[in-house]
Amino acid sequence: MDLEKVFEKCFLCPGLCISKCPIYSITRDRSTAPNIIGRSGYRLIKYGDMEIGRNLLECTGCMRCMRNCPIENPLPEAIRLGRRLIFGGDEYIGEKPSISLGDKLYIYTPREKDENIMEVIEGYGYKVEWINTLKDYIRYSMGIIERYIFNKPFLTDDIEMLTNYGDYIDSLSDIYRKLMEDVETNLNYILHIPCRLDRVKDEVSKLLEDVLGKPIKIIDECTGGGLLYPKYNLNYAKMILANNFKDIHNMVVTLCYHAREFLRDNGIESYTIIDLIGGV
Amino acid sequence: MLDKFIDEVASIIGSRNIYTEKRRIYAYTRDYWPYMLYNEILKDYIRYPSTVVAPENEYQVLEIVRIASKYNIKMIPYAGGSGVLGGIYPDKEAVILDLGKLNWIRWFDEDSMIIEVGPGVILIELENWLNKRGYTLRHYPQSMPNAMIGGLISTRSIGQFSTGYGGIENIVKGLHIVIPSIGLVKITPTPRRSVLLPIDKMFIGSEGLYGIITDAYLKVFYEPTYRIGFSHTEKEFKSNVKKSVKLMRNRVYPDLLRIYDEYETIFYYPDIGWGSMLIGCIEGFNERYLNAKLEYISELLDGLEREEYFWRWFKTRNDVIKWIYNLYENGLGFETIEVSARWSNIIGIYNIIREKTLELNGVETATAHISHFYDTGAGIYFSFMIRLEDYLDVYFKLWDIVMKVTSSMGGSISHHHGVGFVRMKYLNLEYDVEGLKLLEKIKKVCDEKNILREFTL
Repeated sequence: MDLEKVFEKCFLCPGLCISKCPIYSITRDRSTAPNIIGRSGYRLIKYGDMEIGRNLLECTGCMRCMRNCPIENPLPEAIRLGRRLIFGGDEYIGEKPSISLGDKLYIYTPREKDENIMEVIEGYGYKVEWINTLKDYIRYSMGIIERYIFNKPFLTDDIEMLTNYGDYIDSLSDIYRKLMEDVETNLNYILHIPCRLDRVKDEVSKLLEDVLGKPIKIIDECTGGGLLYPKYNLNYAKMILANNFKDIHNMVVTLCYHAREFLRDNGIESYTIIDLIGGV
Repeated sequence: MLDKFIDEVASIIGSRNIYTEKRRIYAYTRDYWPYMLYNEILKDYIRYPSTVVAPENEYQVLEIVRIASKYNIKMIPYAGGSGVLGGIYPDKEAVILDLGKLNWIRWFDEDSMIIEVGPGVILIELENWLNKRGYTLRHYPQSMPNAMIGGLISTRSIGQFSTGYGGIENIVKGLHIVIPSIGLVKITPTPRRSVLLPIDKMFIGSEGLYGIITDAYLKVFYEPTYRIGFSHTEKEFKSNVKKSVKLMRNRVYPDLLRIYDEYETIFYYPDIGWGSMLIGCIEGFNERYLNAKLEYISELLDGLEREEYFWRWFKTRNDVIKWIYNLYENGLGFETIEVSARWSNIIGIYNIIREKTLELNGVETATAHISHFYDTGAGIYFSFMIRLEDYLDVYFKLWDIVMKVTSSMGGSISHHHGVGFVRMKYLNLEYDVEGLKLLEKIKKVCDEKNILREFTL
């Protein structure tokens, strides 16, 4: 991919996608808007401007900008590769994960295994395992990660690193047993797919429908951004929640830990999948 | 002074809403003014403001303005940044006032069809919100995906459906404005009033010189259930213009109408060959009524052609980046200039501007279309393709020609893009000395300490 060309297109664009960006819609800070991130990427590539290049870290990789772009400019992919320039070079400007060298790291993502990414991370001296099966993906949804095994996110897009995973792996069969027990209860489920999981929406919802044996309603608006970025406008995030969930009286199941907290704050009964099955 | 200003503002809006890091203020270094866009891409020339402050409500705006007056800090209001004339062109001392967080949809009076929104609402967000409920604003400028309500009002914007629904001045029914020397002025929405000067109307087009728009009451329409497109071709641009005048004379107003000159026709519709394309559409709720109207339009235009030509434009109408990138790859930049003219001189203005601008070194094409129609005349929109290596040299020469020709032939120097930075020096072509004096006096009354954008010729 010619990164300069991809970023150049955003450089020349007035920002036709900004209203579709879940992060800009929460922050309203223009340095988080996709076209500005593209412009920043251009400066990073062309002038090596690391300071402005940091704007690339604001993206969640949800790909809505690309899907709403008249020329389908693959900005999210360019951002991902652009970040490697920042993270992979000698000058490391991101926050380092608090893990020790030699720890085994688990990358969970719906993407196909990417040897280049593996190589970059292994370059730091970690052992890496790539997990991309759907069942595992659900198991490692944010609820589990936050509560049980997750230490700190390394890169902020679709690559997450898990530590201390060994303690958890034995209990996976229990999770599914409890999930199946819960199907017996008579609840209508609403599945909230947060933006970063948008790519697996269809697959995940079908699997859940199969497991639960009843249709589910999907909501794919981002509700978690306000909490991922708590320094920004929380009121706006609340407004999105109120708009999207106000007519829902049943239980909401979300793959997003942050959304669950927010929903609860707003008096809506809500659980992550792990809550639903009673925890581990 | 700036430090004290920032400290005091932080106590009002919190330090999280004040941006001073280079990477964050970079986002506010320009709007969509092509001259600065090409300056950055060709010469790496950027002008940074000193700070960005992003209030969350109108009382915070009021307080910020009060503090700015106290410390004599220059403020530049910034909404969607979709302006094309450098209206936000920052000074290194200036503070950008980002209105993007004033993005509420606060009140919707469905009986009166009026909605109250903040200046930071993106137009397409509002339109989608209304569409879900069966309503529409029908204000469809090309910048719809990224323009914000505050910016649209302050530049007196217009949309592609203007011939049927009017410009933004027709849908603004009330405003809240923070005026530095006066305070927060609130004009409530009414269908019409006759109470001395219409204060809210005075601030439509005020471009951040006289006050800051902090809330707006807008008229909405029911979303039409039917839309019929039509097209008509003539051998020459002027013949199609004459046909459109015939529609106006007979008070038959399509909701949308566009006429391309021969050069834009061959660009957008290469399949029809040399000629001038007219496209349009009518909308409504009753198919029989619309069909009757279409029949009359057909009679006045001497026949209609394929509806597909309208839809072809409609589906790609905001995809500007396609064209801009295409030009860039071919070593070309662009500029667009819109003016308005009476029917009696519009073709004359068109011909002379084309002839004179094409003489400039670097100007490869000069084309135009008419897309906003009135009983007395129209808005004409020129597009120029300019060789990138000559772009920065020829830019202001091009503007000089268009402004001077338009003014000398009785047109207005701006139809809907406003004044911004570029047109400020041409104001004396639009208004006489007394008119300019009045604008200057009003500026002094509203902004005694001159903290907002300056009024300079």
